[in-house]
Amino acid sequence: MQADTPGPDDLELLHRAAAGEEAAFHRLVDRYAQPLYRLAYSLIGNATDAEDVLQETFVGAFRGLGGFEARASVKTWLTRILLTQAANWRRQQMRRPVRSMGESQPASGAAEPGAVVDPRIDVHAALQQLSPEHREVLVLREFEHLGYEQIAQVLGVPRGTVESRLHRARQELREKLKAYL
Amino acid sequence: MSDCTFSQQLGAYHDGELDAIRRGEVERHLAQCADCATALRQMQSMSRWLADAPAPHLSQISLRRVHRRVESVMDEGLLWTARVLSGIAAAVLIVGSIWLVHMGGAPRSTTAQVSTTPPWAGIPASSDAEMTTIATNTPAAQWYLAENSSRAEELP
Repeated sequence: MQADTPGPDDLELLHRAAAGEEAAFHRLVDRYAQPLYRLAYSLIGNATDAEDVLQETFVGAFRGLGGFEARASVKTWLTRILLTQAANWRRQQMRRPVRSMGESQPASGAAEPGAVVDPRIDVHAALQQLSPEHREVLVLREFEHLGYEQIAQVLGVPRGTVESRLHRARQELREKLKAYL
Repeated sequence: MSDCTFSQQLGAYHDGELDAIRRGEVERHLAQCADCATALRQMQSMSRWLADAPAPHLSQISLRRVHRRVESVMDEGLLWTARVLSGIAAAVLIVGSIWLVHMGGAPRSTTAQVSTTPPWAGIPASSDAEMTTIATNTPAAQWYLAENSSRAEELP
Protein backbone atom coordinates (compact mmCIF):
# COMPACT_ATOMS: atom_id res chain seq x y z
CA MET A 1 0.00 0.00 0.00
CA GLN A 2 2.99 2.27 0.60
CA ALA A 3 3.30 4.53 -2.40
CA ASP A 4 6.70 5.15 -3.97
CA THR A 5 6.65 8.78 -2.98
CA PRO A 6 10.04 10.28 -2.24
CA GLY A 7 10.46 12.56 0.73
CA PRO A 8 9.63 12.18 4.41
CA ASP A 9 8.34 8.83 5.59
CA ASP A 10 4.83 8.30 6.93
CA LEU A 11 5.79 8.62 10.56
CA GLU A 12 7.61 11.89 10.04
CA LEU A 13 4.66 13.30 8.11
CA LEU A 14 2.32 12.19 10.86
CA HIS A 15 4.42 13.85 13.56
CA ARG A 16 4.64 17.04 11.54
CA ALA A 17 0.90 17.01 11.00
CA ALA A 18 0.35 16.45 14.73
CA ALA A 19 2.59 19.48 15.36
CA GLY A 20 0.21 21.58 13.28
CA GLU A 21 1.73 21.39 9.82
CA GLU A 22 -1.39 20.97 7.69
CA ALA A 23 0.56 20.40 4.46
CA ALA A 24 2.10 17.27 5.99
CA PHE A 25 -1.35 15.80 6.53
CA HIS A 26 -2.34 16.64 2.96
CA ARG A 27 0.72 14.71 1.77
CA LEU A 28 -0.47 11.70 3.75
CA VAL A 29 -3.87 12.06 2.09
CA ASP A 30 -2.20 12.09 -1.33
CA ARG A 31 -0.15 9.06 -0.42
CA TYR A 32 -2.97 6.89 0.90
CA ALA A 33 -6.17 8.11 -0.75
CA GLN A 34 -5.93 5.73 -3.70
CA PRO A 35 -5.24 2.44 -1.88
CA LEU A 36 -7.70 3.30 0.89
CA TYR A 37 -10.35 4.14 -1.67
CA ARG A 38 -9.84 0.74 -3.29
CA LEU A 39 -10.31 -0.87 0.11
CA ALA A 40 -13.38 1.24 0.86
CA TYR A 41 -14.91 0.38 -2.49
CA SER A 42 -14.33 -3.33 -1.93
CA LEU A 43 -16.02 -3.12 1.45
CA ILE A 44 -18.88 -0.81 0.51
CA GLY A 45 -19.59 -1.75 -3.09
CA ASN A 46 -20.35 1.64 -4.60
CA ALA A 47 -18.25 4.67 -5.52
CA THR A 48 -20.24 7.42 -3.80
CA ASP A 49 -20.41 5.80 -0.40
CA ALA A 50 -16.82 4.58 -0.69
CA GLU A 51 -15.73 8.19 -1.19
CA ASP A 52 -17.75 9.30 1.84
CA VAL A 53 -16.15 6.59 3.93
CA LEU A 54 -12.73 7.63 2.64
CA GLN A 55 -13.38 11.26 3.58
CA GLU A 56 -14.49 10.29 7.07
CA THR A 57 -11.43 8.08 7.40
CA PHE A 58 -9.10 11.03 6.87
CA VAL A 59 -11.24 13.25 9.08
CA GLY A 60 -11.04 10.62 11.80
CA ALA A 61 -7.30 10.30 11.29
CA PHE A 62 -6.82 14.08 11.52
CA ARG A 63 -8.85 14.27 14.71
CA GLY A 64 -6.97 11.33 16.14
CA LEU A 65 -3.47 12.57 15.29
CA GLY A 66 -2.65 13.11 18.94
CA GLY A 67 -3.66 9.57 19.82
CA PHE A 68 -1.33 7.79 17.39
CA GLU A 69 1.19 5.84 19.45
CA ALA A 70 3.25 4.33 16.63
CA ARG A 71 2.58 0.78 17.87
CA ALA A 72 1.40 -0.03 14.36
CA SER A 73 2.41 1.47 11.03
CA VAL A 74 0.58 4.50 9.66
CA LYS A 75 -0.89 2.24 6.99
CA THR A 76 -2.29 -0.17 9.59
CA TRP A 77 -3.61 2.74 11.64
CA LEU A 78 -5.38 4.26 8.63
CA THR A 79 -6.76 0.87 7.59
CA ARG A 80 -8.18 0.36 11.06
CA ILE A 81 -9.85 3.78 10.95
CA LEU A 82 -11.31 2.97 7.55
CA LEU A 83 -12.75 -0.32 8.81
CA THR A 84 -14.36 1.54 11.70
CA GLN A 85 -15.83 4.11 9.34
CA ALA A 86 -17.10 1.35 7.04
CA ALA A 87 -18.75 -0.33 10.03
CA ASN A 88 -20.35 3.02 10.98
CA TRP A 89 -21.60 3.37 7.44
CA ARG A 90 -23.13 -0.13 7.57
CA ARG A 91 -24.89 0.72 10.83
CA GLN A 92 -26.32 3.88 9.28
CA GLN A 93 -27.51 1.89 6.28
CA MET A 94 -29.31 -0.57 8.53
CA ARG A 95 -31.14 2.27 10.27
CA ARG A 96 -32.30 3.74 6.96
CA PRO A 97 -35.39 2.48 5.17
CA VAL A 98 -34.81 -0.21 2.54
CA ARG A 99 -33.83 1.29 -0.83
CA SER A 100 -36.06 0.91 -3.82
CA MET A 101 -35.08 -1.46 -6.60
CA GLY A 102 -32.13 -0.45 -8.76
CA GLU A 103 -30.92 2.29 -6.47
CA SER A 104 -27.17 1.87 -6.14
CA GLN A 105 -27.47 -1.77 -5.13
CA PRO A 106 -24.59 -4.05 -5.98
CA ALA A 107 -25.19 -6.50 -8.76
CA SER A 108 -26.90 -9.57 -7.43
CA GLY A 109 -26.26 -12.07 -10.17
CA ALA A 110 -23.02 -13.41 -8.77
CA ALA A 111 -24.27 -16.91 -8.20
CA GLU A 112 -26.60 -17.07 -11.17
CA PRO A 113 -25.23 -19.70 -13.52
CA GLY A 114 -24.61 -18.19 -16.92
CA ALA A 115 -25.67 -14.69 -15.85
CA VAL A 116 -22.14 -13.31 -16.28
CA VAL A 117 -19.54 -15.08 -18.38
CA ASP A 118 -16.41 -13.55 -16.82
CA PRO A 119 -16.15 -14.17 -13.06
CA ARG A 120 -13.67 -11.27 -12.72
CA ILE A 121 -16.47 -8.83 -13.45
CA ASP A 122 -18.73 -10.41 -10.88
CA VAL A 123 -16.28 -10.87 -8.09
CA HIS A 124 -17.01 -7.49 -6.47
CA ALA A 125 -20.72 -8.26 -6.55
CA ALA A 126 -20.04 -11.63 -4.94
CA LEU A 127 -17.96 -9.93 -2.27
CA GLN A 128 -20.85 -7.62 -1.43
CA GLN A 129 -23.00 -10.64 -0.73
CA LEU A 130 -20.68 -11.92 1.97
CA SER A 131 -21.19 -11.02 5.60
CA PRO A 132 -19.26 -7.84 6.55
CA GLU A 133 -16.94 -9.87 8.76
CA HIS A 134 -16.02 -12.25 5.96
CA ARG A 135 -15.76 -9.51 3.36
CA GLU A 136 -13.38 -7.53 5.58
CA VAL A 137 -10.96 -10.35 6.13
CA LEU A 138 -10.99 -11.44 2.48
CA VAL A 139 -10.42 -7.92 1.19
CA LEU A 140 -7.52 -7.40 3.57
CA ARG A 141 -5.93 -10.63 2.43
CA GLU A 142 -6.71 -10.70 -1.27
CA PHE A 143 -6.62 -7.02 -2.19
CA GLU A 144 -4.32 -5.54 0.42
CA HIS A 145 -2.11 -8.63 0.64
CA LEU A 146 -1.76 -8.27 4.39
CA GLY A 147 -0.24 -11.15 6.34
CA TYR A 148 -2.25 -12.92 9.05
CA GLU A 149 -0.46 -11.02 11.81
CA GLN A 150 -1.19 -7.69 10.16
CA ILE A 151 -4.84 -8.61 9.64
CA ALA A 152 -5.05 -9.60 13.29
CA GLN A 153 -3.59 -6.22 14.24
CA VAL A 154 -5.96 -4.29 12.00
CA LEU A 155 -9.05 -6.18 13.14
CA GLY A 156 -7.95 -6.40 16.75
CA VAL A 157 -8.48 -10.17 16.92
CA PRO A 158 -6.12 -13.12 17.55
CA ARG A 159 -4.29 -14.69 14.63
CA GLY A 160 -6.27 -17.93 15.04
CA THR A 161 -9.50 -15.98 14.55
CA VAL A 162 -8.13 -14.53 11.31
CA GLU A 163 -7.31 -18.03 10.08
CA SER A 164 -10.74 -19.48 10.85
CA ARG A 165 -12.57 -16.39 9.61
CA LEU A 166 -10.68 -16.52 6.32
CA HIS A 167 -11.50 -20.19 5.96
CA ARG A 168 -15.23 -19.55 6.41
CA ALA A 169 -15.09 -16.46 4.17
CA ARG A 170 -13.58 -18.50 1.34
CA GLN A 171 -16.22 -21.17 1.80
CA GLU A 172 -18.92 -18.52 1.56
CA LEU A 173 -17.34 -16.93 -1.53
CA ARG A 174 -16.96 -20.32 -3.15
CA GLU A 175 -20.71 -20.85 -2.70
CA LYS A 176 -21.42 -17.52 -4.41
CA LEU A 177 -19.09 -18.26 -7.31
CA LYS A 178 -19.71 -21.99 -7.63
CA ALA A 179 -21.17 -21.51 -11.08
CA TYR A 180 -17.72 -20.55 -12.33
CA LEU A 181 -15.68 -23.10 -10.42
CA MET B 1 -14.57 -26.87 0.67
CA SER B 2 -13.20 -30.25 1.74
CA ASP B 3 -14.39 -32.02 4.89
CA CYS B 4 -10.90 -33.38 5.45
CA THR B 5 -9.08 -32.42 8.65
CA PHE B 6 -6.42 -30.68 6.54
CA SER B 7 -8.97 -28.36 4.92
CA GLN B 8 -8.50 -25.79 7.72
CA GLN B 9 -4.84 -25.51 6.81
CA LEU B 10 -5.36 -25.13 3.08
CA GLY B 11 -6.00 -21.41 3.33
CA ALA B 12 -2.84 -20.80 5.35
CA TYR B 13 -0.92 -22.97 2.89
CA HIS B 14 -2.33 -21.00 -0.03
CA ASP B 15 -1.45 -17.71 1.68
CA GLY B 16 2.10 -18.83 2.48
CA GLU B 17 1.48 -18.59 6.21
CA LEU B 18 2.65 -22.07 7.22
CA ASP B 19 6.09 -22.93 8.50
CA ALA B 20 8.23 -25.38 6.57
CA ILE B 21 7.19 -28.44 8.61
CA ARG B 22 3.47 -27.85 8.28
CA ARG B 23 3.86 -26.92 4.63
CA GLY B 24 5.55 -30.26 4.00
CA GLU B 25 2.73 -32.09 5.78
CA VAL B 26 0.07 -30.35 3.70
CA GLU B 27 1.94 -31.04 0.47
CA ARG B 28 2.23 -34.75 1.29
CA HIS B 29 -1.49 -34.77 2.10
CA LEU B 30 -2.42 -32.99 -1.13
CA ALA B 31 -0.71 -35.71 -3.13
CA GLN B 32 -3.13 -38.23 -1.64
CA CYS B 33 -6.40 -36.29 -1.10
CA ALA B 34 -8.35 -35.36 -4.22
CA ASP B 35 -10.92 -33.28 -2.28
CA CYS B 36 -8.25 -31.07 -0.76
CA ALA B 37 -6.45 -30.75 -4.09
CA THR B 38 -9.71 -29.57 -5.70
CA ALA B 39 -10.40 -27.18 -2.83
CA LEU B 40 -6.93 -25.69 -3.24
CA ARG B 41 -7.41 -25.24 -7.00
CA GLN B 42 -10.73 -23.47 -6.39
CA MET B 43 -9.09 -21.23 -3.82
CA GLN B 44 -6.35 -20.34 -6.29
CA SER B 45 -8.97 -19.54 -8.97
CA MET B 46 -10.87 -17.23 -6.64
CA SER B 47 -7.68 -15.43 -5.65
CA ARG B 48 -6.80 -14.98 -9.32
CA TRP B 49 -10.22 -13.51 -10.10
CA LEU B 50 -10.00 -11.17 -7.16
CA ALA B 51 -6.52 -10.07 -8.23
CA ASP B 52 -7.65 -9.56 -11.83
CA ALA B 53 -10.86 -7.74 -10.98
CA PRO B 54 -10.79 -4.14 -12.21
CA ALA B 55 -9.50 -1.95 -9.42
CA PRO B 56 -11.66 1.08 -8.64
CA HIS B 57 -9.85 4.36 -9.15
CA LEU B 58 -10.28 7.58 -7.21
CA SER B 59 -10.58 10.45 -9.66
CA GLN B 60 -8.69 13.73 -9.20
CA ILE B 61 -12.01 15.50 -8.56
CA SER B 62 -12.82 13.04 -5.81
CA LEU B 63 -9.34 13.45 -4.36
CA ARG B 64 -9.83 17.22 -4.28
CA ARG B 65 -13.13 16.67 -2.45
CA VAL B 66 -11.30 14.59 0.15
CA HIS B 67 -8.73 17.38 0.62
CA ARG B 68 -11.50 19.98 0.94
CA ARG B 69 -13.30 17.89 3.55
CA VAL B 70 -10.08 17.61 5.55
CA GLU B 71 -9.49 21.36 5.21
CA SER B 72 -12.98 22.08 6.52
CA VAL B 73 -12.17 20.04 9.62
CA MET B 74 -8.84 21.87 10.00
CA ASP B 75 -10.75 25.19 9.81
CA GLU B 76 -13.22 23.92 12.39
CA GLY B 77 -10.25 23.38 14.68
CA LEU B 78 -9.06 26.95 14.16
CA LEU B 79 -12.56 28.30 14.73
CA TRP B 80 -12.83 26.29 17.91
CA THR B 81 -9.51 27.66 19.14
CA ALA B 82 -10.60 31.20 18.26
CA ARG B 83 -13.87 30.69 20.13
CA VAL B 84 -12.11 29.33 23.19
CA LEU B 85 -9.62 32.22 23.19
CA SER B 86 -12.44 34.74 22.75
CA GLY B 87 -14.28 33.12 25.63
CA ILE B 88 -11.22 33.29 27.85
CA ALA B 89 -10.63 36.93 26.88
CA ALA B 90 -14.25 37.81 27.63
CA ALA B 91 -14.09 36.04 30.99
CA VAL B 92 -10.86 37.87 31.91
CA LEU B 93 -12.48 41.17 30.93
CA ILE B 94 -15.57 40.54 33.03
CA VAL B 95 -13.62 39.33 36.06
CA GLY B 96 -11.20 42.25 35.68
CA SER B 97 -14.04 44.76 35.49
CA ILE B 98 -15.70 43.36 38.59
CA TRP B 99 -12.39 43.40 40.45
CA LEU B 100 -11.74 46.99 39.43
CA VAL B 101 -15.17 48.08 40.62
CA HIS B 102 -14.62 46.39 43.97
CA MET B 103 -11.06 47.57 44.40
CA GLY B 104 -11.94 51.10 43.22
CA GLY B 105 -14.49 51.52 46.09
CA ALA B 106 -12.17 50.59 48.97
CA PRO B 107 -9.58 53.44 48.79
CA ARG B 108 -12.38 56.02 48.53
CA SER B 109 -13.49 55.29 52.10
CA THR B 110 -9.90 55.73 53.33
CA THR B 111 -9.62 59.09 51.54
CA ALA B 112 -12.89 60.22 53.03
CA GLN B 113 -11.58 59.41 56.48
CA VAL B 114 -8.45 61.42 55.86
CA SER B 115 -10.30 64.36 54.38
CA THR B 116 -12.55 64.68 57.41
CA THR B 117 -9.51 65.61 59.44
CA PRO B 118 -8.32 69.08 58.44
CA PRO B 119 -4.61 69.49 57.83
CA TRP B 120 -4.30 71.99 60.64
CA ALA B 121 -6.00 69.68 63.09
CA GLY B 122 -2.67 68.78 64.69
CA ILE B 123 -1.75 72.39 65.34
CA PRO B 124 -2.83 73.40 68.84
CA ALA B 125 -5.34 76.21 69.06
CA SER B 126 -3.53 79.28 70.30
CA SER B 127 -3.79 83.04 70.53
CA ASP B 128 -3.19 85.30 67.54
CA ALA B 129 0.01 86.47 69.14
CA GLU B 130 1.36 83.00 69.26
CA MET B 131 0.24 82.36 65.70
CA THR B 132 1.96 85.56 64.60
CA THR B 133 5.12 84.54 66.38
CA ILE B 134 5.10 81.20 64.70
CA ALA B 135 4.25 82.69 61.36
CA THR B 136 6.79 85.51 61.44
CA ASN B 137 9.65 83.20 62.33
CA THR B 138 10.09 81.99 58.80
CA PRO B 139 12.33 83.95 56.39
CA ALA B 140 9.52 84.26 53.86
CA ALA B 141 7.28 85.81 56.47
CA GLN B 142 10.04 88.21 57.48
CA TRP B 143 10.41 89.35 53.89
CA TYR B 144 6.64 89.71 53.46
CA LEU B 145 6.29 91.82 56.54
CA ALA B 146 9.19 94.05 55.54
CA GLU B 147 7.74 94.60 52.08
CA ASN B 148 4.30 95.38 53.43
CA SER B 149 5.55 97.81 56.01
CA SER B 150 7.60 99.75 53.39
CA ARG B 151 4.58 99.90 51.10
CA ALA B 152 2.45 101.16 53.96
CA GLU B 153 4.95 103.97 54.50
CA GLU B 154 4.84 104.97 50.85
CA LEU B 155 1.08 105.33 50.92
CA PRO B 156 -0.27 108.84 51.29
